[in-house]
Amino acid sequence: MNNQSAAILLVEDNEDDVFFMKDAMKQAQIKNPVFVAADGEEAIQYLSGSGKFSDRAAFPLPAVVLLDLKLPKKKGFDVLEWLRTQEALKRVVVVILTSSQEPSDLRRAYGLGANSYLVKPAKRDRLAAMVRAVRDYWIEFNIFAPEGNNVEPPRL
Amino acid sequence: MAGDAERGSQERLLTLMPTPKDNARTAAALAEGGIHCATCGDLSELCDAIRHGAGAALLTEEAVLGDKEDCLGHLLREEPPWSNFPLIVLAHPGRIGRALTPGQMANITLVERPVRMATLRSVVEAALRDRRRQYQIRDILEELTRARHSLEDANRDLEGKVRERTRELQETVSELEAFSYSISHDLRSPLRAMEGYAELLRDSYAERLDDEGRRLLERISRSAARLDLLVQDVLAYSRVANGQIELQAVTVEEVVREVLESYPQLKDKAAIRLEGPMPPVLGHVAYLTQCVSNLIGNAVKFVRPGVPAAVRIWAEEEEDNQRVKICFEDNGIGIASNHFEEIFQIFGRIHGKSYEGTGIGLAIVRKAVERMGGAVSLTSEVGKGSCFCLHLRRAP
Repeated sequence: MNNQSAAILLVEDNEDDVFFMKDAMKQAQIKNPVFVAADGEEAIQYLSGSGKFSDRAAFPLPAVVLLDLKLPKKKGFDVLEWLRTQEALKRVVVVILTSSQEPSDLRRAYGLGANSYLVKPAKRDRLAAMVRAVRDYWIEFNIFAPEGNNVEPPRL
Repeated sequence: MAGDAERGSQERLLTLMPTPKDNARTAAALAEGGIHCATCGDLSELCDAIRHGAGAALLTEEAVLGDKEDCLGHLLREEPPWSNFPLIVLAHPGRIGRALTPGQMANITLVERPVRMATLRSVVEAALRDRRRQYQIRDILEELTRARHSLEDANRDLEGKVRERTRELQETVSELEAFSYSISHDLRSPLRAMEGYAELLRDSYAERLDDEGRRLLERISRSAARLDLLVQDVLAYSRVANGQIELQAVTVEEVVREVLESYPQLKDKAAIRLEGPMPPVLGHVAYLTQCVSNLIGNAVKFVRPGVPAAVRIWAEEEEDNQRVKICFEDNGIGIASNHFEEIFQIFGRIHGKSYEGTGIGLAIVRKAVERMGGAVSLTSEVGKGSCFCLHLRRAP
């Protein structure tokens, strides 16, 4: 995978937060293409390649989904739950990005299979550092399981 | 309760003699002694009458022996637990046999023929007294059953009410939770945007603003940051007030060390002396952490100008051996005793703008300690310093 071309999908309804995220990515010199879904339904449409997102060349499957929890139409949790039931998508990295620090939200997010849970920082450079770390960790460094379900039995 | 008519039938003596003439004569003789009689033509009529209520029955052994269909036997076997119907049987000597005991529990008085009227009368009166007592027992049992039923009804009502109240309370709690969720999410979101835009303006456009412009920008940032702090503190308070917690043994020393390590700036601002060992308490780590960090935070904040801040933290068992007090002593500005209550109230600030803060910290401390089944106390002298103590149950 070409690290620079791996796409990031930002699921966020708040225009300010979209603005700050793009600002932070610029500050962090992230070159990866970023796509925005403004609500849960749009996120599901994007990820399943349906409707206006049916052109996979124009709207590639993201390597990382940055998912807000409180969204119109479908909530972040609904998107996450749906994602984990999709054979082709269940390994997509989902990073929850929210302002909620409620223990119940944390538990539910990890329970539904979120890879990471981050609280939106107020400061610009904190956000830039955070998004840089997310990009580096999940796109640059992390090694994923190979495709397919062939698990080699352990040698005894 | 039995009505008069019913009571009348319950008092009557049923008679069954071989001939109607005998029947009438016997009834008349007994009626003279004040005994109310009802004559029966045959055994099945007698049994029906007993079922409708009667005080006793007087009959001859011939009638009993002639009971081919076992009328009496059936009747006596199906009697309710309180009933043991008195039968008076006139019998010839020597002919009294097993046939005269129709049921195992039969309450039979055998009277030998020929019988004197005075004897018969006293036997009948005894039988009627016996029966009256049986009816009394029946009434008491009925009363008890009614009482039990109404008690059960009341109990069901009560359970229903408790269920309803519990549901209402749960609704209130979840409303509160939804409220704090909305505070954390909806209120803070535009606030963070304000802070973010102000910061961006300062970072990228500062050189295009004059001094006054930059100062105003700084004010926007500060106000937004302060509002954010307030929202967070209110949220922390409502979490402490409404959270569901289970108390367990907590190592106080660890909690204090954890707080000091998490906020290294505390140690930069004051000389903090931690005096061990500290007995374990019954509490909740997150709640106790909140108390400890708020109290240490206050101790290093409310300092006297020019006096290096010094904070001493220790814990000891109280005299009753049941409780432990954890104390935070500072050498700060101190608090006048007329403000002791005020400072524990939400937004209860007494220092105006000279010291930063939201006025919620000590309210959180008090609420958290109360939720852990404890209390907070304060001794202080203006110009010398304050000592806040948390009193919590000792862990077993």
